[in-house]
Amino acid sequence: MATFDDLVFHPDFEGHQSAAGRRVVTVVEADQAWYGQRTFVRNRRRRAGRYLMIGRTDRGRNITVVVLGTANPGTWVAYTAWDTKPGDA
Amino acid sequence: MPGARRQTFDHLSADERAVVGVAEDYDWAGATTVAGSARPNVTQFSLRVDRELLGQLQAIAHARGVSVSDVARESLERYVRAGGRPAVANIQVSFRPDAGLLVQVEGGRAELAANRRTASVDERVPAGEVGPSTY
Repeated sequence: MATFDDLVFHPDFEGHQSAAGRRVVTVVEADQAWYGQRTFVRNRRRRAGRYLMIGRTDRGRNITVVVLGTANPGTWVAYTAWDTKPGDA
Repeated sequence: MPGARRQTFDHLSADERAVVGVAEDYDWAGATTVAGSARPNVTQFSLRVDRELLGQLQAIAHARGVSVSDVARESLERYVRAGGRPAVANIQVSFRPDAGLLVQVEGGRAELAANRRTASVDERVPAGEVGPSTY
């Protein structure tokens, strides 16, 4: 089982979302979810997106954040995010 | 595979999908829930800047014997403390170049405005009557 210690943000974390036309999950919201109770879903394929992190912001917004691995075990990069739909978690 | 879950992935851009994949790629049955933890008062994010700006940050950091991160952090803190307005820390204004007078005003715009009267007085000083050539 991987460890999930630190989350850093891709420079285009919010830009990836707005480019796709979605309501943006902000860096602050993703940071809030990272330190709350959250669920990790592993990608079985060898893609850069290693895990989905499903959690909740301080205001109760349910979000899914795609995290990429780094050379440093335990440190992850938030790449993009979206609102979690019922049935996702 | 719940339909809503698959539908979520339909809203990804092509670039995102290349990184994220599709819903079927994920081990939903093996999902792991992690308890919340204390949130530190610092967080980390990366920033895309022009190479020229990075070079300038490095030069400042080298001159001051601090890290590039320290310089970038301090710059951001100053910008935020100024309410998001460009804070002018050091304005250099030249008057009467024929007299060789250089006036250097330290401070922000408000301070510069407060110093305008002094500057006007300086402008009225006839050439040749100026004492030191530089202040």
